[in-house]
Amino acid sequence: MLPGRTLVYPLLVVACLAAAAASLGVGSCGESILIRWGDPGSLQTFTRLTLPRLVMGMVVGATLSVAGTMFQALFRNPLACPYTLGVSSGASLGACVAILVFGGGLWHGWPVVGPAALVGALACMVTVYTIARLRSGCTTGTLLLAGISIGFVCSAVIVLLLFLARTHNLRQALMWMMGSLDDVVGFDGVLESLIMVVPAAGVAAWLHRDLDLLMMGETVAAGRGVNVVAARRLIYFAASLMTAGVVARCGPIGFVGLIVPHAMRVLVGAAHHRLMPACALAGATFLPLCDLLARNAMWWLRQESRELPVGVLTSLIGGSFFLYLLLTRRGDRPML
Amino acid sequence: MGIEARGLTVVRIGRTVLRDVDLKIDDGERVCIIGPNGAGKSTLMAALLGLLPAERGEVRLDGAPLDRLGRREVGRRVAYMPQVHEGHLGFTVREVVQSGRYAHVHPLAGLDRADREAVDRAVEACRLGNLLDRPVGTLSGGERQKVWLAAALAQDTPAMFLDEPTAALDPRHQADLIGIMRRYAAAGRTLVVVCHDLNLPPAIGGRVVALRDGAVVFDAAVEQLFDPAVLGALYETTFVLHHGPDGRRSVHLDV
Repeated sequence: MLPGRTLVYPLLVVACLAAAAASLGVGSCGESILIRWGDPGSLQTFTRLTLPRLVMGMVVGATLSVAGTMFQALFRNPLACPYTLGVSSGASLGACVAILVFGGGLWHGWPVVGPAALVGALACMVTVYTIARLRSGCTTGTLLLAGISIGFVCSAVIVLLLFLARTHNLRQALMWMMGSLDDVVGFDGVLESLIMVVPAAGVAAWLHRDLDLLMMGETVAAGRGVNVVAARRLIYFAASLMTAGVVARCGPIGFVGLIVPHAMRVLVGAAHHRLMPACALAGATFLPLCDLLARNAMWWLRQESRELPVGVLTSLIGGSFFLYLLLTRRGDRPML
Repeated sequence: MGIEARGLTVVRIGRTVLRDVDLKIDDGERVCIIGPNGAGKSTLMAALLGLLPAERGEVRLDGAPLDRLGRREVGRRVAYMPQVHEGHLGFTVREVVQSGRYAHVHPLAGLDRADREAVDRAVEACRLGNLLDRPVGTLSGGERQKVWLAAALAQDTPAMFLDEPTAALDPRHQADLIGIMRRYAAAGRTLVVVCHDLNLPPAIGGRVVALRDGAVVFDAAVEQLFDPAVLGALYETTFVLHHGPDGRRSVHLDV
């Protein structure tokens, strides 16, 4: 490993802890929970809302970043991200059906939006794979085309549902699709996401050398001894599953899975045994920081007690940073 | 390691690229595969490795049917350097060479001493010691080709397949690669090379197999290749042969 790279991980850990501390300390809408720590309800607020939201933000940021890394390796494409194959569109369709058709909220005492989004994401994942497999034995090209097509179909149905919807449900559906952490209450959602994320992350760790070799080229990978078809299938399902696990809970928070892998490749290189841990730490830093800004931006700017959807900020910051990388990279080095 | 193909037929996008190819390569043999563009040379190499499905026929590695061997097992027996590298170039030279150990390493384990020694030998053989931390994308074409070859050498296999290893290289890098291939074969390992440069087979020695329209049309010792009638029929053009004072022979186009 290059000498400077050894410092990156301690720095990322420090940054992650600092972001967590800032997120807990600053609070929401200009009000820090630390100021009224002695209040009877403050401990409950901390354990039911503040801390779970931070942990969820870290899990979502880390997951989307690692999933983005996997999709970029799978497609050898710098523009691939966790949403390229339509998982987010499937989740959004599921959520929109639950909100716009069934009114959102509860069904026999159970929340419907999260499970519906999960069903949508998983259905989309299986459909894309099945279509791709019908053509040419599921190459990355057919997988990509099937994913993009299914994504467009889902988006079209979402637009149709929005067009036909009653006004009072529209806002809930639109807010869900912007991506947000403000619905996180308690640790149940975190644990439900982790049930899908942890096994998928295990698969990613198991296949780190396969990811390296697929990125070097499928022919090279096969020549080295990689079972390309099996590796491709496992990577697709693992990355899609972990994406579905977090998107179903928080909506499609954009750009994290695109920009974090780019930035970390510059710092630690392309090998996935270094890249994926760095992405997980950076994602777990980036999203809570964006969430901190999203919670307080309207208060700081206009003294308004409402939150921005965090997806707006991740896209704004991520897009700007992407442009910065594009404009400042050295000419003799590939951007990825 | 011995490789044998029997009645090998490969169809790609509706076109029969290889027709009933029978080919036996003995353990430790050096074989160059030549032929005009589209003759099926690269397809034959890929099919011998199981990278392309066979319509008919079978391939055996050391007597074992290829389709019963897992990819990892094939990777422990044969190293392969494709003609075109279309992958990401941000990996360092060290990472690419280390990737050659894939088939030998447990997925969650690091490289052990034997792996590191194999990598060091490959780096030494290709003289890449001063480039190890450079991203492959920053190297020249000749240096990159040495990196791909070093990764294949690091696989430490009893056989190596190289698809046009010296194409588009300057004379110095060609000489370097030929030297590396000779040293590999001199250790008694099987070397199979696809090439367009007709002066490469005599530099490597051994046997030449010529393909035309997906069929084997010539299979003999390299000395017998230098016959204007053989080359003229194979490539449908005329050649001039040279016999050097040291007995070496070379060929160039009569233009």
